[in-house]
Amino acid sequence: MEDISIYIKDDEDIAFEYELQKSPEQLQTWEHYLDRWQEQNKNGLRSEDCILWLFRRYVNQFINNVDVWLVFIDWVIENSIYKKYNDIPTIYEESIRNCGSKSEKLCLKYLKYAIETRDLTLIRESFDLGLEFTSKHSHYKLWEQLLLFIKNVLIPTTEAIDKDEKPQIEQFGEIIDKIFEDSNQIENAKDNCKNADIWISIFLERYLLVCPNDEVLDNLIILGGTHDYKRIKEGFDKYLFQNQDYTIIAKIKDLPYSLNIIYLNSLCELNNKSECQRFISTLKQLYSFNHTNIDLITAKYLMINEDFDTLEVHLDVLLKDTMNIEDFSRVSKFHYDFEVCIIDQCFSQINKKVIQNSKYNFEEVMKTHLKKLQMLTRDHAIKLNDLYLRKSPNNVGMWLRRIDLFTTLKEKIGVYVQGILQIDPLHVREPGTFGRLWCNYAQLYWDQNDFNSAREIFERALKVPFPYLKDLELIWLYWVENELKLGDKQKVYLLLEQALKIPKNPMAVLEQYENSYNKIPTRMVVFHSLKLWNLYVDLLESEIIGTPGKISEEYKKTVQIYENMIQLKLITPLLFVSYARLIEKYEDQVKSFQVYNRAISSFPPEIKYDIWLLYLNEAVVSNLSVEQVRDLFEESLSQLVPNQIDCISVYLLNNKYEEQQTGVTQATISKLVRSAKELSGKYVESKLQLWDLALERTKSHFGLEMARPLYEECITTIPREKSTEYVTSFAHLEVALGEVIRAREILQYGAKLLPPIRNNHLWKYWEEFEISNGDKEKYKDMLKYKKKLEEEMKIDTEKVSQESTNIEFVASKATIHASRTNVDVSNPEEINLDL
Amino acid sequence: MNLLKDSYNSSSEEEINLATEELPIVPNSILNKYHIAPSTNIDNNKMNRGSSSATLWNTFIYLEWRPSVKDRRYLDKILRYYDNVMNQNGIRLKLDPLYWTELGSPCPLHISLSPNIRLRDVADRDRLFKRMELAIERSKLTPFEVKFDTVPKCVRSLTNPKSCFLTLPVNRTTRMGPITELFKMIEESEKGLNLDIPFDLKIAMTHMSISQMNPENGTTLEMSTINEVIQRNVSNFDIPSVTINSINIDKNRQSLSIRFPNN
Repeated sequence: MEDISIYIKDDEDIAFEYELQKSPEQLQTWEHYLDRWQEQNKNGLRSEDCILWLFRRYVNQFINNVDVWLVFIDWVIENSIYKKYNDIPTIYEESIRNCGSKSEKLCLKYLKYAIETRDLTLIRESFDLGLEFTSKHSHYKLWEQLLLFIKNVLIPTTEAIDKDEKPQIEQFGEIIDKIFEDSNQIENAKDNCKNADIWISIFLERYLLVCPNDEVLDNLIILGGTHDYKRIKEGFDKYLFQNQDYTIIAKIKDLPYSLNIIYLNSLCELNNKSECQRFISTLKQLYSFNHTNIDLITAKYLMINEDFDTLEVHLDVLLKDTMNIEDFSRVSKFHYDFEVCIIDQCFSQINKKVIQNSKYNFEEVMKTHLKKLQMLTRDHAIKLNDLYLRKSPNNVGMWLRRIDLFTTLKEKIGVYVQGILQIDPLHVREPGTFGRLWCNYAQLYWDQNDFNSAREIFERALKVPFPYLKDLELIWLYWVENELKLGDKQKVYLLLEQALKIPKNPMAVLEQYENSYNKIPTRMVVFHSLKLWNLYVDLLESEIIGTPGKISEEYKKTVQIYENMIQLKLITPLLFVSYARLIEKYEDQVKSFQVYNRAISSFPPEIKYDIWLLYLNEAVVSNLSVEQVRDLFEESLSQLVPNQIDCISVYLLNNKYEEQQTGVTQATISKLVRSAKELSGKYVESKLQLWDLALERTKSHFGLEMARPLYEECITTIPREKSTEYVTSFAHLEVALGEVIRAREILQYGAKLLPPIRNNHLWKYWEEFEISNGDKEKYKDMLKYKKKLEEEMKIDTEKVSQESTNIEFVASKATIHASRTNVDVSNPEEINLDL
Repeated sequence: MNLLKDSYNSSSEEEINLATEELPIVPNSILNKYHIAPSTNIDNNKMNRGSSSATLWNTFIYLEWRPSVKDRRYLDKILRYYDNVMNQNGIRLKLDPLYWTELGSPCPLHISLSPNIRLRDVADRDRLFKRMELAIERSKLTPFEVKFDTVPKCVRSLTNPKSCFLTLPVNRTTRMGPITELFKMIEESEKGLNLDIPFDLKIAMTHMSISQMNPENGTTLEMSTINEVIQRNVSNFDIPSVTINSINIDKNRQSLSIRFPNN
C-alpha cells in the first residue's frame, strides 16, 4: 500500500480528495486540483513526482479522453519527467491505443515527436500506428508530415553525404578495385545503399501506392534521390514505363530530363546490360542536342562492366564531339580520373604481389593506361583547341595557336592544310589573319629552301576571295620580302608590278568596290595599297641611290610610281617631299618646286603649312630670283593666314631672307609689324615674338627714339595681360632717354590696363622707378593712385564671367525672382534656428 | 624566254631544296579549293550579281598533271632544245613554259577533255558534274598512264591568233583506251543539258600544251613551217609519260576532282 501522506499534505488536498471520491467524473475538480499542485510546484512546495502521481490517476480516470492525454503528454514532455528514451513513445502508444479511433490528434502529435527525434525506427512505428488508428480520410495528414521530412531533411542529408564522401575519383577507385577483386557488382550496388535510402524508398514505395496521380512524378524524383536502385527501377517500371516500353520516344519525351537520367543511372547501377543499352539509344535519339550526361553515365556503365577498351574509345569520341567547354571539362575529368584510378589500382595489386590473375596482367594494364594518361595530359591543349575550332572554325587566331601546339614541320603543315581547307574566308572577322596563316604556311616551305612550293602557296593565296585588303597586302609583302632575300630584284619588280597594275578607270573601280559590300573581289583594289606602293618606291630609290644625277630606267620607273600614287590620291605629304627631293637630285630644282606646288594644292591648310615651310626653305637657298622668292612668300601667306594658321616660321624666314637681301630697313621692320598685326589673335606668343624682333631691330639700327611709335602701337594691339611688360619696357626706354615725366605718364597709362592685383610687375617697377627718379610726394601720389585704382577696378566676377565667357547662372536668377514674389508669404514649415 | 630562264635558275634552287628536309607537296585539295581567282572583271561581277537572263555558268573538264621538280627540269631541256632548233632555223619565238605561272611559281599542266562548256542553268552545271561522277563510279577505269607522241606539235591559240602553243599530242593507244572512254562519258553526260553553244569533242586533237610561243618582233607565225622544222629536228629526249588517277571539273572557283573507282 502506497503511503499517500507523501502526496496529501494539507486540508485543501483532503477536501479535493473527498470531492473526487464523491464525484470522480468531475473534470473541473481534477483540473483545479492539478492546477493547485502545479502552482505549488512552481513555489518549490511540491515535487514533480507528486504531480505525476496525480496525473496518472487523472488519465486513468479519463482513459479514453484524448484531451486529457494531450495535457498529460504536454506536461510530461515540457517538464522532462521521463529520462528513459522509450518512455514518451510508450505513453503515446498507450494513449493512442486507449483512445482508439478518436486518436487522430494524438497520432499526428506522436509522428511529429518521432520526426523531431530523427529516429527512423520510431518514425516508422509512429507512422504505422497512426495509419492504424486514424481514418483513411485523414491518412494524408500523416503522409504530408512524413514527405515533408523526407524532402526537406532526409534527401538533402543523403545527397550531402554522398557528395562529401564520394568524389568521382573515389567512386571510380572503388569500382575498379571491386572489378579487380572480382566481386559482384549488383550485390555491391545493394551494399552501397544506405539505411536511410532504403527507409525512404520503402516509404515512397508505399506512398506511391496511395498518392494521387498528379504527385507520382514528384515522388519518383524523390525516390531517384535514394540509392535504392532496385526500388527506383521497380517504381519507374510500374508507374512510368508500363511494360518497359521506353523505346517509344513519344512515351518518354514529355517526362522531365532528370527522371530519364535517374532511370538510366539505376539501370547502369543494377548492371542491366540489355535494358541499359536500349534505354541509352532511346535517350540519345531524344536528347540528340546535348547528351553528355547520358554519355558519361554510359561511360560509367562500361567501366562497371569492365569494358575498358570500349570505354577508352567511347571517351575519345565524346571528347571529339563536345561542343562546349563545360562538357569538355566533364568528359576530360572523367577520362583523367579513370586513367588515374586504374593505374592506382593496378599499382596496389602489384604491391600486394598480384602481378597477374585469371583476367588481368596488372603490369601490362598499368603500362597501357600510363601511356594513355601521358597522352591525355600532352594532348589536352590540342583537344581544347579542337573544341574551340569546332565551335568557330573561322577563328584564324585559334588555328595559329594550334600550329604552335605541334612541334614537327609535318604536323604543322597538317594544321595549315586543315585550316586553309576549313576556313571560309568570307566569314573571317579579323582583317589580315587569314592572310597571315597563308603567309606562315608559305614561309615554312621558304625557310626549308623549298622556294617553289612556297611560291605555289603564295600564288594560290592570291586567289582566295579575301574580304579585306589587308590580307592580300600581307601576302604580296611576304612574297616580295622573301624574294628580296634571294636578291632577285627583277622578280621582285615583276611581283610588285603585277600587284599594282592600275585598271583603266581606277577611281571608278574604287568607288564600285566601296559600294559593293564585298560583292566585288578585294584583289581588284590591291592597286590602291599604299604599303605596296611605298615598298616599290623604296626599293627603286634604294636601287638608284648609288647613281645620283644619272637618269636611269629605274629613275624613270620611280618617277612613274610617284606619279601613279598622285593619280591614285595615295601619296602622303612625306612622299611628296621625297618625290620633290628626288627630282631635285636627278633633274633640276625648278621641277622639284613644281612637285611642291602640286603637293600644296593636294592637302588642307594645316598640312600645307609644313610643305610650304620645306618648300620656302629650299627656295631661299635656290637660284630663284628675289622677286620669285618674294612671290612665293606672299603666296604662302595668302593661303595660310586666312585659314588662321600660325605662320611664325614663315614670317621669320621671310624676315631673315629680306634682311639678307637688303639689310635691316624700315621696310623690313614695317613688314614685321604688319605680320604681327595680321597674325590671328589665337597665336599671342607668335605675335609677341614678331613685336620683340621689330622692337629689337628698331632700337639697334635706328635708335631708341624711333622705337616710341612701335611701342605705342604694340601696347595698344596686344592683349592687356601681356601689354604691361611692354609698358615697363617703354617706360624704361623713356628713362634711358631722360624723359622721366613721359615715363611716369606711360606707367600711369599701363596701370589702368589691369587691376593692381593682376599688375604686380608694373607696380613693382613703378615703385623702383619712383625711388630712383621721383621724390616722397611722387611716391605718395603713386600709392594714392594705386589705391584709387584698386577701388575703381574691383573685379565684379559675375560681370567678368558674363563678358568673357557668357556663362551665367540662369537658374539662380529664376529662383531669386520666384523668392521675390513670395517675399511676404510666411513659410509654415519655417524653423527658427536662432542663429 | 624569261620565264624559261627563270625556270633554269630555279632548278638550281630546287637542287638546294633536295638537300634539306623533304616536306610534303602542297596538297591538291588546297590547289583545287582556290583553283580560279575571283574575277576582276566588273561586268562579270555585275552579271553574276544580277538575275540577268544572260548569266552563263562555265565549266571545263580536263586531266591534270603536276610535274615534279624532276619533270620540270626534263621539260625545260625539251623546251631549250626546240628553242635552239627554232633559232637555228631563223624562227624567233619567245617560249613561256606553261608549268610556271607568270609570277614564277609552279603550276599544273592539263589535258583538255572538253572546251569551255557554257550552260544557261546552274542546275545543269551541277547535273553534268553528278552525271560524270556517277559514270566514273560505274566505270571500270583505273589509274592510267598517258603517253605522248615523240613529235611535239605547234597549235595556234584560239584566243590570240598571234600566239601559239607547243603541245605534246596524246598517243594513239592512250587516246583509243581510257581517253575515248572518258569522252564517251562526257558525251553521255551533256545530253539534254541546256548548253549555250553545243560542242564537239575532238579526240584526235587531245594534247597537253607545255609552252606558249610568242613571235618576237618581225616574225610571222607559220604553223606549217614551224611544225615542219619540229618534224625535221625531233629531239632524242624521251617524252615523259604521265600517270592520271582522276579527272577534274571546274565549278565556280573550285576544281572538283573525281577519282577513278579502282584507285
